[in-house]
Amino acid sequence: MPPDVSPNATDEALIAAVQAGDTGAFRYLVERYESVVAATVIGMLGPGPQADDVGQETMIRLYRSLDQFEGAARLKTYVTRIAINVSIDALRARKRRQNRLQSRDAERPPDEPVGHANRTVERREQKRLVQQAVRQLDTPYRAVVVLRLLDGYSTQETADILEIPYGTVLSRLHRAKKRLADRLRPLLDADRP
Amino acid sequence: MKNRHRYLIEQALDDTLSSNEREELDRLLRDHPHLQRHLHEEQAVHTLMSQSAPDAFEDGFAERTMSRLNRELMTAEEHAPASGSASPTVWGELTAGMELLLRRFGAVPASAVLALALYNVYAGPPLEATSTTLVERLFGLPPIAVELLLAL
Repeated sequence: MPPDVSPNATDEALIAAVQAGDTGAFRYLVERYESVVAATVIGMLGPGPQADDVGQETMIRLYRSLDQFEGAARLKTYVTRIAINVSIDALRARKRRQNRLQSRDAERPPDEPVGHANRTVERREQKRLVQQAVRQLDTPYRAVVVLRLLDGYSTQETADILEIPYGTVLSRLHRAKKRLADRLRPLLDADRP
Repeated sequence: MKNRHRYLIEQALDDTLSSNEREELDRLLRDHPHLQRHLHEEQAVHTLMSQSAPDAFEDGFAERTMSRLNRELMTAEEHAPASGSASPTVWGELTAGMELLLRRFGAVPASAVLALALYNVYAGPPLEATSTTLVERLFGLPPIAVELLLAL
């Protein structure tokens, strides 16, 4: 019996269809996991055309690696692992490019304090400041923060996705949160009763 | 801070403490008041972060992805028989890299064209699927091509 190929089909059925040569079935997987990939990629790189490119690249790598997908891991975890790796590669490339060409599209100036933020900061501005603070973290810390705090993976899942020990996630999280707290002090203080 | 303390605080923030761990954390917080402040601060960071999840991609992401995938698959098919020892995947990736450059810079830098040409002549091993981004691959592989380009 041919696998069920519809937007509501299970991951397994869609993967089987793609493996059988039905490229169209892959579209349902793209739609299903678009938000997962966006959360990781935009969290790592910030919004913009590069994030879109990296998102597409993530999906294409997923397509190419579906043959090797064993099904032991959840597809969500699997695609997140690809997204984080492609994002890290893109950050490395961006850094190399900046070093080499002193590109005008430099990521952002160092440590812009958020000292003027106060209770009246709108939600959107708060979000921007938080995401900016995340992007000021070094890549290993940023990856842990994006997965654990923005994407909502557990500490163990974060360790599994990044293929690092649980204790390393804990210590990176601890340091990252300390840095975030320092940078976002005005926002944290503003929320304090 | 000890790893055990970090672990307990993280579990508390995740709301996944067992009853034994809960007792252990309560004891710890009683004996070390500074950890209480630390826990509150971490809670505040968690709350702030949970309110700041990144936005979605712009509309049409699935269309863009599928169209790029189909283009790559088609290009790989078209180029594979005539491309000497480079694999279809390599050709698809290199072509996609060119398209990426075109989209981002409005032109393909001459060095990238040369790198592609040299790669073709040189026909190195297939590019690693998990190495670097497409653009970086064009500039980065093969090393001999980069050396030659730099020498030009």
